[in-house]
Amino acid sequence: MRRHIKLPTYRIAFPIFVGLSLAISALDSLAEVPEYTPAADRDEAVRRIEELGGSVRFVSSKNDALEVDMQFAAEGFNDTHLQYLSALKNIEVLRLKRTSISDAGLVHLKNINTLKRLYLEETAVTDNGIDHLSTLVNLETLNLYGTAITDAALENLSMLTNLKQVFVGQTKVTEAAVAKLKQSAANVTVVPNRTEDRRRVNIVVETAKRLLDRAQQEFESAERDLKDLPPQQEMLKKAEEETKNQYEESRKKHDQLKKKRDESNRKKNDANKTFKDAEKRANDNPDEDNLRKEREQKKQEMDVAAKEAEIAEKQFGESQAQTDALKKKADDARNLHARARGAKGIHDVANKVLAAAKLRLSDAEKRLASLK
Amino acid sequence: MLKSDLTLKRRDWLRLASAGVLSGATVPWFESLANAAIKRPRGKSCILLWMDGGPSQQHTFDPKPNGEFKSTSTSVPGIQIVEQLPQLAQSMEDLAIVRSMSTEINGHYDAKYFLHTGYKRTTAFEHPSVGCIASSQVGLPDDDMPAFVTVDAGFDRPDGGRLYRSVPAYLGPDHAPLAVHDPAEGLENLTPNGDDLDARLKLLAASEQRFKQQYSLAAVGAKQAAFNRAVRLMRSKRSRAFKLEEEPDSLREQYGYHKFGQSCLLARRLIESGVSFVEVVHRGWDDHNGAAKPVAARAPWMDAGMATLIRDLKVRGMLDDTLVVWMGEFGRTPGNGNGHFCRAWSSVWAGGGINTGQVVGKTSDNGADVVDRLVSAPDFMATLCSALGMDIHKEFLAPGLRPVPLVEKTAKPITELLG
Repeated sequence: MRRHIKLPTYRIAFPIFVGLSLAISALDSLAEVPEYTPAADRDEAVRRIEELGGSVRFVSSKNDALEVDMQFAAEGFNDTHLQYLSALKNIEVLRLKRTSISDAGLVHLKNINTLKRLYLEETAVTDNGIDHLSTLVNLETLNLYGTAITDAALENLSMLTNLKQVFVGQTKVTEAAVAKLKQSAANVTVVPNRTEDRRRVNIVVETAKRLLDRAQQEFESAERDLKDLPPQQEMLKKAEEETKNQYEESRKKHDQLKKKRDESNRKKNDANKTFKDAEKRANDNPDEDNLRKEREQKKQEMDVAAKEAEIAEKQFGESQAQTDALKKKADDARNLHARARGAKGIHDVANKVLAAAKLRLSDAEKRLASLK
Repeated sequence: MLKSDLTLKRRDWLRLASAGVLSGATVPWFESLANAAIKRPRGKSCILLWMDGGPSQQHTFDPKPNGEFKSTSTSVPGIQIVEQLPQLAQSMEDLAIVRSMSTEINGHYDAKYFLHTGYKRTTAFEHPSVGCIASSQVGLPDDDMPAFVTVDAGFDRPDGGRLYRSVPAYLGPDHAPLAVHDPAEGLENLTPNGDDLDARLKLLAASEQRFKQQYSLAAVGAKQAAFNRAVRLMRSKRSRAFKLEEEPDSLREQYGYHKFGQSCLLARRLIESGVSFVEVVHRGWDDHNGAAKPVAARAPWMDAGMATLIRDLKVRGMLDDTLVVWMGEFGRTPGNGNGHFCRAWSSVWAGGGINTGQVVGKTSDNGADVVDRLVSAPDFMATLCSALGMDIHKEFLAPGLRPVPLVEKTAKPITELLG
């Protein structure tokens, strides 16, 4: 178990309130309490800090900047203990979250101008304490979440020229003061920024409404299906089979017509080719009558083949349209039957999605209300 | 003869390793410190939101033009995610999406192992999971609170493969996780019965001591380590972190009165009380019958839990020190998301001082391939460990005196995230 340093002021605080006679004896012992003695060197300061439940670590392995973390020492760490810090060099990060420090203790931070990040959240610090921080010119992050600070604290921050972010959640700081600070120090991010938060939650509300509308529509359609379709399941099954058969038949016919079309196309091409040959021969020998007659005959044959191909193509096209229409009908019937069979499941899922969409909207609306 | 000698040796090594002697001594700069009183650098904390079963990337953070979900613009111009996650969309400047995860393994358990350890499963020995690694490398040493806590955030559907349980393996039993089964209940039996606890503990300690003297086994040490930690936690004021009822109702509602939301809230409280790594496991993302409907039903509370967590950490000034990672063991097949898909999927990062407000990597229009900046499982692990402040080149001794680096030597951290 961790040893806690026996700190006189802390230990005797309790007896003082116990009773008068006890209080007198306690006050006697208070007189014997030695004054605070500063830590002799770095090692001793580190040892004392660790005994209080804190820790000292390097910020990174690259340099010797230190981080002093007292947040887990909690209320066992108070203003007096802040004096240990003077024995440590190059403190960049100091965490005092939820410790017992107060405004008076912050005096001891005055000379730690290496400090870049200071965490004072959920302590007794008030506007008066912030005055002591004006010499911390390298400060980049200041956490005042859950403290008793007001707008006055923000006004004092403009001296900290390197400041990048300030945390003022759960304080009395107003939106107006945040806006004012933003004007005088544009580089500083103040968290939270309620004006911006509200703008964003409004977008969330709009999206949530849109999604709820869609979920509502889908749910209504699912509900209609559940009411209408399952009673007709037998009929729908028959319709599915019937339309399927019709489609199959039509497809078979269509296949035949396709074959016929391909066949007549082939014939047409052949006739074309035969005519071209005959024509060439006739042209090469313009004096031969036979050849000219043959050419005429082949031309007629070609024209006939072309006409037949055209008819076959037309029939094929008509059949294609008819088959497509029947396919669509069969698909529709199948889908409808599937919808009837799955209506219950789809309804359940749509109901879940709807409930979730309602939750999303009510979450967003509540948050919007809390930001007003 | 020779064999028994070797076994003995291994055991000794194990014992040394579990006592932390080996792990501490291998940090090179640690030895060179002039002042041993100051410990290693402070690592960052991490909350891992594990969507067990494999969440669909195209129904969450990598929407596609003809996908089932519409996309919406976010608070960062040019970045779009699905409109089902409006709260997260408005926190985009605090998020970084890695859309190019490509991790080789399509089976649940082996993929979970791979993404938790950075190593493929072998029969030779077990690897420690990332939470246990964090416990050993950046956890507050010798602390009241456990360094690694897992929280069961419930399930939507019971499948999704065997559940992966984090083991510290050769890092030693001190780094085993503390498991919370229900965030609302906190830790069962945290408050002792009766007022003679000290006397009873003393009696137990004495008899355990005798037992340990007689039977010096690793298992005895492990049991005692777990027991000592439990007693210490019981006595610590900081164990209040497990009591969610201390939070205002309005905040609990913002997180969502769903096991996932309350787990996110518990995770924040645990990090606040000094826990270094919290893994929130939500089971049931193995959507084999199409991801659109189940994700539509899940999205609102996931959006609320995760977005509120990030906002809450931010408002308290904790986000810079707390890394939040959202992921599963793989993604889902492009289109309807019916199948497992490890070739091109997304993980989401927030906080921890990483560069957010950006998308890393890109998948093809049909979502089937990574077309830019492929991130492997070891790359992912190297990034996570680096972001938490660990030395990823450090080596451990696995059983059989095998030196095993913290992450595979081929791994390259995602520099775009780490800056």
